Amino acid sequence: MSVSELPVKQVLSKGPIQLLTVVGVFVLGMLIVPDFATFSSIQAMLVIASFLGVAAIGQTFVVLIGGIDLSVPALIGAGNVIAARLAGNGMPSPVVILIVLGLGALCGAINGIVTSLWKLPSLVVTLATASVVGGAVLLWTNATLTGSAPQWLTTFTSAASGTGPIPLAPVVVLWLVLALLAQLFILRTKSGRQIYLLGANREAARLMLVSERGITTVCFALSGALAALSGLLLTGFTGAGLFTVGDPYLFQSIAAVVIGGTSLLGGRGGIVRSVLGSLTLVALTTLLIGLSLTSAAQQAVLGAVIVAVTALYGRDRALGDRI
Amino acid sequence: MIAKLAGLRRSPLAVVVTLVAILLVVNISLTPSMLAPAQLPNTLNLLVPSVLVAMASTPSVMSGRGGIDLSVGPLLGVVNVFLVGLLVPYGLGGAGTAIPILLVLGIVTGLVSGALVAFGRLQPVVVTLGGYLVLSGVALVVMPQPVGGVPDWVSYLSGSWFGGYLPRSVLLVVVAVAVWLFLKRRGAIGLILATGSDDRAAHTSGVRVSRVLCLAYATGGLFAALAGIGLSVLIQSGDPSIGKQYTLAAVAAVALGGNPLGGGRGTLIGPMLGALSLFLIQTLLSGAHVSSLWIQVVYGAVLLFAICTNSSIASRLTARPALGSP
Amino acid sequence: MSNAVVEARALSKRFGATKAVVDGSLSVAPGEIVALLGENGSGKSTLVKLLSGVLTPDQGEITVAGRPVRLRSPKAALDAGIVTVFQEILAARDRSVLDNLWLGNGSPIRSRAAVARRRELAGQAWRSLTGSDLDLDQPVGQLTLMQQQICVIVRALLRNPKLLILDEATSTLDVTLRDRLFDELRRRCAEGMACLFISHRMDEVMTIADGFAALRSGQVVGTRRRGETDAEELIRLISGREVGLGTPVRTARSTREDVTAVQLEDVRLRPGSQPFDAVVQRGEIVGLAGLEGHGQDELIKALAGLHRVHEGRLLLRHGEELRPVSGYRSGVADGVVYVPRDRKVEGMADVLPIIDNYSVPTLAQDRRFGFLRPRLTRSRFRRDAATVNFKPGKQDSIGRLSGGNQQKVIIARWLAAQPEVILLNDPTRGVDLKTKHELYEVFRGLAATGVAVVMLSSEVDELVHLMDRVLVFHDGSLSAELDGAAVTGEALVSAYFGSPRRELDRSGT
Repeated sequence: MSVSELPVKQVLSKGPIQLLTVVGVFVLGMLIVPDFATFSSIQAMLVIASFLGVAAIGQTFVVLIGGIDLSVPALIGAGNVIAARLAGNGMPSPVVILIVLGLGALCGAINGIVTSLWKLPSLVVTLATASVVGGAVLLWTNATLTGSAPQWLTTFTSAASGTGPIPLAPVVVLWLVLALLAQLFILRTKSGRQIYLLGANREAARLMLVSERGITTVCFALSGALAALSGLLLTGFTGAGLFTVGDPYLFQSIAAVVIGGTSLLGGRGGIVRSVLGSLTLVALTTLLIGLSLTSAAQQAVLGAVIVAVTALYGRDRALGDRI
Repeated sequence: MIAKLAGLRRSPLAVVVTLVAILLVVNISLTPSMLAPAQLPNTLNLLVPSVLVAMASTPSVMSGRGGIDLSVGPLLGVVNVFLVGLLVPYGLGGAGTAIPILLVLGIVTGLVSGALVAFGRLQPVVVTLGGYLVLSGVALVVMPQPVGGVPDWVSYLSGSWFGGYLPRSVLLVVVAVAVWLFLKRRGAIGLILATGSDDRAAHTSGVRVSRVLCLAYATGGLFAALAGIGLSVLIQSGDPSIGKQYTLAAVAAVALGGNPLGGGRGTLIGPMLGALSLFLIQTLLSGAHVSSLWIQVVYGAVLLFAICTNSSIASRLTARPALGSP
Repeated sequence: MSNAVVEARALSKRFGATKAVVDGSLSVAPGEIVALLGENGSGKSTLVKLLSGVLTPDQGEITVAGRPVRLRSPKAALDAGIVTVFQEILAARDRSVLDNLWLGNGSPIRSRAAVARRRELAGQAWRSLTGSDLDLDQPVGQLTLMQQQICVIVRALLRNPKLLILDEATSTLDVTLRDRLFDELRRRCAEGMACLFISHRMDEVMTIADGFAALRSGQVVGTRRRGETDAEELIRLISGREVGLGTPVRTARSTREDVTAVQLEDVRLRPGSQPFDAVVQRGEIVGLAGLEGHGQDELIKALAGLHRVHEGRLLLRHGEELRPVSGYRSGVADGVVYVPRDRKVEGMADVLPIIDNYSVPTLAQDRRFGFLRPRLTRSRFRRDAATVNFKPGKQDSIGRLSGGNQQKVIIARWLAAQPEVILLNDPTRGVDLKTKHELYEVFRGLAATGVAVVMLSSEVDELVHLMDRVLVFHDGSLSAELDGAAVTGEALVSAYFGSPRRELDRSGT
């Protein structure tokens, strides 16, 4: 479904501009940083992007209904720690996966139910649950490194692995498959269309028979499950469980969604855009690292870029046009 | 008096006032020494930055259109780091030079956010998110590692008058409140609230919405700068990474205080009391020797409870006659 | 015309490829009321925005008292003495009535003396227009829609404008208040104020205007003075063709069937109001009428399952039997659909494409193995769009359509649910004349297929023209039930005020 026709500048938010941005950053990287575009470098970037990307898919669902999920870092951390701890204790992997996804979905569902039942701003609700989850997990692990990653998971997330004939790490393929499924969901199912409607106009959506509670719960549950999954995948990458591994993803997941062109107001955007946004973000970070910027300077540049990119294609309508 | 208290029950401040009352009673019974003149300055020094940063988030939230200032935390960090890392070494650390510079720094940063929101028509979450990252980075670039050495007037502010009964750091809050009252008297707060309630109504009535938005964010920046001074008073040094954790606490304080995140309504005292509540929860739990990790859990739970209750109260307040819902 | 208060010369404005206003020229002299007439899409609202400073013209100039001005913002227009009441009620709903009345007017400094003076002046102005008092400290959001509209009108009047522009400002006012407003306008015009009056209601326009300016396709195609023209000529000017819709004529084509679709037994809308019975048959068009706030809005929402009446039974036909209303969702499932009053807020999502606004409630029809087939949706849409006479153009987003076209899409949406009863809450508000009549044909067509059409209307002409029967409400209960030929303008207005036989007297707001 195409995005509605908007005044000139915002027509830019349609179509290929996100793709151009990714390509642009990439080309810039190739020109400026040596070894930026080597095969192994790209593979590594894609793996990093996939952790972010999986969480960003979940964040996109929430943003599409006009909310924001600040519990993403806590759930990533929780997923990471729980997976490492349980796997380290010898629990069979399928069970671990189910538990992690289940807990993530449960947490998300709670976010969704509380938000829709009391009509609360999701910013604060997810902040609160993040605090509760974070505290709980930290208590469980006493805030130390814990557990270990099963071998298959380490291979799964290794940049050097391939997936059958495809020269991409399995985690990357997983990410892209999930993204595709998610995009299919929002474009071609009734619930998916209802998500857009709810984000675009809550009152009208209710009169058009959209169950606000149901859709909100589903979106937050998806976000929770995907964040927890991302944490689980990170276990393979880091080799152990540490809660704080989720911290950078708070702003990164929002940034990926925003750079991708999904509006924080809801009702506009999509999953594919967030894929592109994640790629852009990772390419940018790699570029900055390649320029030998300290992590402090990286942060600052990242912040400026987010604002600049949004200025290109994420601006609100002028007051005169809204009257 | 009774009537006023009864009215309070239906006011958006009801929850936070009750919470503060309960927490104060419990805290004081548990640790009576909290209010002792020896302890009071320490307690207040700890409290002041949190209160000020909550106040810093208030005008941006009031101004509506998703208004929020996520950069207040890092901004207070930058102010702290600027003072210790730049002004002092270059001999500008005296009260007469440092204070105006720092306040201007806060105001200008706020103005930049406000201008991007007002004229750039960017969403506040995005702008201030960018601001958060830029300012965190800047703080680390200016001062990669914590450094000691504050000017005399900062040490002075950490003390108190009347033998401990009036900690001097309170002065910072008093200044902020005075600025607010001044703006209120000039009608600026009313304009911020009107803009937050419906910016189109304000615009078509001749209100210069862009200026009002810039004012809101600039005021927030000013309060954040005061918070940065307060932080310097507290830690008596410069620390580039402490500021960040204040941001989310500020948002929580605003929500606890009964100010709707959508803007258009609210008070200054609400977020102040919200910050006080969060602070009292922490002191309560650490006073009871509960692990700081439990504090996180309780903090989140109390926040959830408070905002649910606030929401029930608010929906009763704004209930319109003769309109149903599906 | 150098004594004109405001004159617009050759204004033009385009949005991308669309030329909204091509040659907007008009002038209003002090003391005169000029009606600006035009169908939706004629450029009326753009012209209003140009005059009020919300938009700036690409070309042309505006002069105030002979001097050219550049209206770069609403503030500039206000400073020049041009005060506008917009079609949408623009009020800061969290703020008090008093704050809203003085919003942006003068210095905002809140000294005690200043506040007291403003309270005084605001109270006087409100009383002068409405004849009653209001608690000025309550938030505007708690007022009824009509009170909110009065609020924005009084806000404009408090500025003592040189030119007052009223854009569909009477849409929520009941007959009493509209008359009081007209009196106030005449009073002020006698003192030199000029007024630009925009309304779709020909009866109002013919009553109040001294001059007429007809807008078509972005151009002022003709101006007339009072006395030298009639409604038919004006309509011809704005539509460019013969329509023959000047005076309301009853179309006696009732398709009423003998089967009851809606039955109201012993219904008491509010505590203390008189209980009443009523019935709506299949195939008929029944109007709900009355002054604002007298119960008809509550009743139609109650039938939709969105509101609870105080007492009584509301029954809807379901197959062979009549069953009580049991909630909004089950209502829709049973074939009772509701078209809400406030399009922008409740009726549609204006950033979404037209097809989404049409299809979402009935998407289950397009599902195959759990997934949607857009082709099915599109063909359904073509069919239903044809029924409502909606011609999809290049526009993709519903927000860009005219009000009338938006309403058509909304009605098409509910037609897709195959309704047996369609409840319409003031559906032609803000819709231009041509589209209104197209919608009337749609409603007639629906009734002819056996659908029971229940329509709340605030326009006397519409009630006379379209309805088979009208239920008039007063004070929360049924004041009169007019049938067939008895539906006349006079009978309706008398019924608005109580007993159909009572003399017209003032009713409170």
